[in-house]
Amino acid sequence: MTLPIAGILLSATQVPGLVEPPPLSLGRILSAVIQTVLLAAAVACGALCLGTWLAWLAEKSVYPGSAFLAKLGLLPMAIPSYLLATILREQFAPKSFLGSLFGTHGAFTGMGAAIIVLTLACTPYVQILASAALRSVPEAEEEAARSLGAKRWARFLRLTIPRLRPTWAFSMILVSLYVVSDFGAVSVLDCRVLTWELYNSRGARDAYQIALGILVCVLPLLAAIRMIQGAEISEAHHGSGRVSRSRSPLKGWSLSLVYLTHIVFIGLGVVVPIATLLIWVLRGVYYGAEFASVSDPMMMTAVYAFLGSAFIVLASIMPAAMASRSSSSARWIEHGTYVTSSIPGVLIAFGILNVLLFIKRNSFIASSDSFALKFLQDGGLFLLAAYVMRFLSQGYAAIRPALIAVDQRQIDAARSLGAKTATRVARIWLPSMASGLTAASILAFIAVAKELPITLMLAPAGHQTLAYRIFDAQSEASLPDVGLAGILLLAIVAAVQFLASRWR
Amino acid sequence: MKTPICSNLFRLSPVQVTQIRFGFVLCAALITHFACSETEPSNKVAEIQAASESNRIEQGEPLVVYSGRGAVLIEPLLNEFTQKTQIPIEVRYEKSTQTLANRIATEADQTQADVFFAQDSGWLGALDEAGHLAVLNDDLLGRVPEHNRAKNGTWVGTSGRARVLVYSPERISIEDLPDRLADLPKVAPPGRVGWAPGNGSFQAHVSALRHIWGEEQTQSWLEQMNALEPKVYPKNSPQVKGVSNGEIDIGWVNHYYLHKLRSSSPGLEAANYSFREKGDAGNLMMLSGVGVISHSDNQKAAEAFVDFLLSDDAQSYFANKTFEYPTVPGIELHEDVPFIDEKINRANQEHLTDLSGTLDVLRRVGLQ
Repeated sequence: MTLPIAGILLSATQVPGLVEPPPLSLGRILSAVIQTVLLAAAVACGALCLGTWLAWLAEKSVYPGSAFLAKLGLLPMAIPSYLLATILREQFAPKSFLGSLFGTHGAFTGMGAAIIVLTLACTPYVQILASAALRSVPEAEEEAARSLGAKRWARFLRLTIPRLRPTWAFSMILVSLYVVSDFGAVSVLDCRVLTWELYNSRGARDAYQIALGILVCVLPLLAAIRMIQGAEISEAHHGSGRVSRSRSPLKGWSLSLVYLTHIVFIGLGVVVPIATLLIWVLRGVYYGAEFASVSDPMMMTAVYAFLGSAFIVLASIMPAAMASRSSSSARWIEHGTYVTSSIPGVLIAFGILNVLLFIKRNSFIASSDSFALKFLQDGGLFLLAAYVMRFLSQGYAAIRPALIAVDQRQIDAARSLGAKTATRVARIWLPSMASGLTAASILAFIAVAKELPITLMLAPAGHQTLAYRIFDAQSEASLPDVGLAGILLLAIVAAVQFLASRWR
Repeated sequence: MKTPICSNLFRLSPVQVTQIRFGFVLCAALITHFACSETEPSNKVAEIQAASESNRIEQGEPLVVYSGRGAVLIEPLLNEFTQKTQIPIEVRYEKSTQTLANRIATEADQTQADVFFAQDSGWLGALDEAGHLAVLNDDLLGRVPEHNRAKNGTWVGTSGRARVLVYSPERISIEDLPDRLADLPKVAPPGRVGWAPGNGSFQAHVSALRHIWGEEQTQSWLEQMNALEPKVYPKNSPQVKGVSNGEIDIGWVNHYYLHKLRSSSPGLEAANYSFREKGDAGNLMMLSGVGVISHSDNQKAAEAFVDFLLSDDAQSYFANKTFEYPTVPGIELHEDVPFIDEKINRANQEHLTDLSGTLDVLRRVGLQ
């Protein structure tokens, strides 16, 4: 975390560019802050309503195909926001498929478009959290309320809402954090929020002001998340008995409304994106469009996702081990890990880029160490370091439970039998932690494969991933190239998840 | 001549071979393909091979290109260069030519860049002024007309993009379009015009207008246009799509986006328009160009790259694949791209970099 912040401060000392842009006005920065807060609030409310509604349908209602539709509704999570934004921007144009259907008149860009796209992207997260909360309502409470004559709405207001309230608070903050950090959708849709402004102003000397603006938005959200999590931990100790499994059948107009919700959500979040990508590729082939080569971006995606996940897993082991050994420092280690990974990718990349440029500018450092610097930069280690910072929490979250689960008695027994450290690691630690390490690797692999702003700003010359290609191609309006790179990226993500599920 | 799609799709670029030093198992496939790929010797290869006897080429070091032009536009061309010369290329792509030029200036003699391939040649001029470009040899400079290169020989234009109006023939009659850019506010329908004030081409054109018309007239024109409540787009291509989709009737763009989009959507309902008056300020030709970084220790390979970009093959690529205007005489235009040489305003490309003043004007008008 220190490195990006040092980079942000160093950016203020950078030499003027070839053409010094006029200084950023306070009004422009404030406008970006306001837009960011509004976007986060709107998306958090939208995702909260839609996610809770879908969770309620999945957990408390019965209708044909409910289980399948609930699972299908989680798929928009797999589609990166920049890809979803590109697809919906094209499909909602006035004479396009959805544009004609909904009778749109203007371009699908700006705040409204960003709210729709990010709501679609964030709703599955809320749905998962709300489902878990709904599952935790005790059966006994439900039955007691029913026997006392409480109607459905009364039970919902008196029993369910109190259970959902902490989840809603947590979801709202989590979604807000996601939105404040998002770069992909807001850049494609040209929504003038802080992350997009920072990217556009990254060459300016006063870009650090926007970077600080992002920190101002992010830090309160982080503090709130940690406070809520602390409260949840203390609440979790209250036993709640057998959970409620009662479900109500749906029929009539309510069933129609439910199917309409699924059609709109799954249609926009899954069917339209995948069909659009296929259509773009097929249309390109049909009209003989010349596709840009995808073999290099595919290779780079695989290489960086593989290396990134390895670095992330290795980097996660240390804090996870420290946290599992010492309960007093565990909380602070956990806080540090989550805070580091909650910094938006564009901010991490901006900070590291400025550190790199500072080193390059100061020849007293570079001239004595130019070979090492070149190796570092060519090898993409700056890029990998940024990935580690961004996704450290994902590795940590998977590895820490695995470390805690290792049976200390086995280790003590092995030690008493004279087993050396290497033997204990190979025979006890690794087999016990295998599932946690695999989960961490998969999570990190997928996250790195889809990552955009860090890759855009820090990838060494000649290294272009599929995410980078999609961003490049959409800005050139080269839709066949977007389609091809998008399909390949989704295929890689799906293949990794499929292989992981088979392995388990 | 079109390259078969499949060979383009999965052609493994040798560019990356030298980059991947991670010992990753997938390298095997790339190297195999690289070994199997055919090379087509040309007349220039002998000279280029001679160049390769010195400097970093003989050590197999790649040529590092900082490119303001996107990968989807130029990657096949760069692969062709590597195939022909065996000189590997590493490219740092960046959507903003300004950011890339600033980066070279910031990195100064520590820069990795050997070549700067700019979307807007104005930034080449700015780098030249700051002393970061080397003077090209006379042979290279002599290949393009004077108006397509720097006066002091530090860069050459590789292709040109004409600024045009894109309009809907369904909703706007060509007779109703003005003879001069200056008259556009008088005839454009309010609320049905699009522009992209944040885009580099827009800002470069405004910079040129400030030099052609003067500050006062430019600001007045922008104010008149702004009074029409134009729809603000982030880039050029959405304007072309916007015209076709019915979002707007007129956009202010570079000519080649229409042709590029048509190649995958032939039904696009839009047309380009160049102002009727010869040499009008609206008919600006904006050059993409290339320069060799003065700090580079790979000068010969860099000049071989410039030489390649001015070759007939590369110039035909710009004409037929990116639908631009070649800068080397004698290259045929794509059949859909009109010959507008007589109408073109050949403003000094270095005026296009006067961005600080332009941003001030845009801010005064409320566009920044």
